[in-house]
Amino acid sequence: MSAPTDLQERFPSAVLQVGALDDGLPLLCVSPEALASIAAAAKELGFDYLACITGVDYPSDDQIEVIYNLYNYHRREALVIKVRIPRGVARLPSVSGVWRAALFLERETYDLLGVHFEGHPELKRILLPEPWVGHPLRKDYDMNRQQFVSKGPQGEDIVSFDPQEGW
Amino acid sequence: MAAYQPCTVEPHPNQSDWITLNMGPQHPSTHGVLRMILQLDGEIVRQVELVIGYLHRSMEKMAENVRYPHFIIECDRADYVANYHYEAAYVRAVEELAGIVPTPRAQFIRTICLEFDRIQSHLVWLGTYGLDLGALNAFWYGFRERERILDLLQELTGVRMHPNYFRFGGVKADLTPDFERKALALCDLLAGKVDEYESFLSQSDTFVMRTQGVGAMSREMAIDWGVTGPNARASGLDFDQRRDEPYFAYGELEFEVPVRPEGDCYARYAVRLEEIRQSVRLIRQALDQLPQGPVIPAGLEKGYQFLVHPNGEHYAHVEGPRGEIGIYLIGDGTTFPYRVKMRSPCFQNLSVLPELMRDCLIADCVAINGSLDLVMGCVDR
Amino acid sequence: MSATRLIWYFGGSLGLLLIVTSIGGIFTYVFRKLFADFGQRLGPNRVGPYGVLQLVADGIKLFTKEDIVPARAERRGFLLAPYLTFIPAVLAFSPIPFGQGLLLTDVRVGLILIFAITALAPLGELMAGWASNNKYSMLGGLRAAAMDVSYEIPLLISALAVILLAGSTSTAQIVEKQAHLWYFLPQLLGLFVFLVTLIGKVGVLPFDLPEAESELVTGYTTEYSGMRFAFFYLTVFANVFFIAAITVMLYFGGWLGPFGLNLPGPLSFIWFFAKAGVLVFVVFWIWNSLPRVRIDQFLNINWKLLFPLSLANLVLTALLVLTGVIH
Repeated sequence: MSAPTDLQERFPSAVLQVGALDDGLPLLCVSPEALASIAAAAKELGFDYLACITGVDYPSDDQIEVIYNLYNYHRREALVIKVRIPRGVARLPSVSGVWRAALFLERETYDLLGVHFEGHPELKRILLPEPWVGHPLRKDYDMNRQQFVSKGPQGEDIVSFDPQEGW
Repeated sequence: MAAYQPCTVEPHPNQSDWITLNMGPQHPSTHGVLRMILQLDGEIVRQVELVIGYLHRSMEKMAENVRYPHFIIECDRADYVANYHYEAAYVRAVEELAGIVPTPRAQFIRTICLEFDRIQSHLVWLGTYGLDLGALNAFWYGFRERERILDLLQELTGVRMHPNYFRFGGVKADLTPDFERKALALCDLLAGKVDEYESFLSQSDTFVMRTQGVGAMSREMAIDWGVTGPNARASGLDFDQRRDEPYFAYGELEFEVPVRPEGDCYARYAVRLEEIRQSVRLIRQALDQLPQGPVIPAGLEKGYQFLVHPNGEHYAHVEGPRGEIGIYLIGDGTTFPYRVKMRSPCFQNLSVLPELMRDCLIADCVAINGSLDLVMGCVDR
Repeated sequence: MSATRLIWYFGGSLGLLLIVTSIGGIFTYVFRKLFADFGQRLGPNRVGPYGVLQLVADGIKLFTKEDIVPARAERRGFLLAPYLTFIPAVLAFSPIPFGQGLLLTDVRVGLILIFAITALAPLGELMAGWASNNKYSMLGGLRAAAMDVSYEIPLLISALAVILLAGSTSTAQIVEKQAHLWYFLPQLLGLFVFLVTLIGKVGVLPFDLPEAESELVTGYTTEYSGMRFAFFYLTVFANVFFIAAITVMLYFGGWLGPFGLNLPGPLSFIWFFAKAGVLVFVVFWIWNSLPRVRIDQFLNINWKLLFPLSLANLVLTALLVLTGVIH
């Protein structure tokens, strides 16, 4: 039995759709509540390697999609798990307890898309300074407003829209 | 070979005696702008906190605002040591999503470029790693051969770095008339030089003492943290995308994948050195089997590249010199990508660093950091 | 003390200072040329023929560079430390005979004096490390002190074996005693320990832990600039010359020529410098070839290898002397 159908049988209500990406990778669309348990089940099935977490903003649907690329080193097969969450309250359970590769990837997705991963041990910005305003990979991020980063007296980062401030 | 002597200094019970040491972002051996906040107990590193993002350019956002071919050059700048590999991942993603079939000759030329790129990237690593450990001359030796490779690739692409050479369906230009002869001569040279590096590093007791048993990473740990590439293969993970999920011309070429079980810095060094040998072998075969024909399919020359408008989602990945370089591409049928996610191997390899560095000495800290072959441009994108 | 004696001491001291400083300076050029050769590069080749005037250019640069004292440094210690490392490095040459009669002071305890002076070196290094108010510098200073103190022991014990052979601690007499047999032959083990510990004490690669540039930036010299940095830089090269000079004196017959080919009087310095030159080349060769060891490995080498070896060598030498094999 293939992994996606196996997972669908175990989580009949949480798996919304079983399909394939445009390149034929098996795809599983799941509901956000069950993500953590499905991730754990996928790891039990042998998907021991989390290659990538991609966040995509779809303002037209008012949704954010988070895509997990999994890989099974034993059977050499791949699996894609997709979750859709509302843009306003973008919250997802963290899978960093299942794959530690998610520690950095979730922080990156939080940083650039503003998805809050609940249960992540250290959810803070990773590429941008902590006080940065906005999440750049959201489609409505205003790229015409420049932000300037400088150092405060205690060595902390200061972000402002005024180039003179902090210098 | 000298056996590793683990450091057995008694840990200090009192944390208030710890020193906080800021290593980086400007430091000779953080290889770019990596900042590590070390908690030191004497000379022993107890905790490491990583601060990255100093080189963040938000390339994924840039990708959404340029047409498909414009982003090829941007890919070069992600990993500025191994330029061709990000290009390869991106070009492959677009091709597979848009249903473009590259010409056979282009596939082989790409493979040759990628392998030369891998060699020169490993040579940069070898040189800087020698420098990290105080073997000052490894640097010059590594860069000497790298320069020859860059010269050759410059003849092909016009520039030393940031080549912007791959195109959807092929490459920018065909091989120059005497490229094959020069490339073969360079292969002969490199094969001999690898032995030379081995003679002054592997056979140096000091080098072995400094690397063996240092920063050991188990196979499970490597998989769990998403470590890929030579770092994972040095931990016993027998996986190489070129062999197991072939792309470009790799399926038609024969080579071995070096795997080592130890997972320490020495294993990572040995795997990379062996990979240089295998790359030379790959280039020789590719030059031998190079088919004739166009390097770009009809209807995709020059400006027609801008008309590429894939629709759908695709994850394409290639085996970079540092691990899996992945591009998750979402096209919406326009000539602009909707979303390009760059899966960086260095980003994942970096995340395991605090684990590896726990309870080692400052000197080991440098040895481990160097052995993972991190390029900050690739981490921060 | 007679006036001539006083003039001799003043003039001699000034001469020694000039000699050591200029040799240190020349070594910076030689080192860079050799370093370039080992790395298959050209090295300095722009200023003057073969780049020999690079030395002068560097000197001018260092002289005119701003002397920066970090705002939160301990000012007095910071300013004093370069001299405290440089002066012992020069002073240590005073009992070393460059040729027959070419030595500043022929005291009876010359060798002891040399080691007493070199023992002062960690003071300046530690002071520089502490006063810089920089954690890299401090770690470098601490490493320097730990290394100097621990490497002193096998160094002295192997020198002691030479004293046993010569029956004297006067430097001139040690050389004269080697007229028939240079001491490196009966003291091969001692020479090995002596050279390794001395390189470790001076702190050049593979033992340059106090200023390991890939770990501690440059250790206790990180915060220094201009002339003060130049003093540290000169000290390293003066110390390299010191390694060569004292090893030639103790093991390779000082100013004596091989096979009785002695040069008369002060001219014998030619032999001394020829032999020292070869040793300096060896030190630079090691410097350019070996990776750096780690601090715990470094101390392990000392306490578990060099220290027992030096003791064994001492016992062996004592037995040789006692049984009259070597007189």
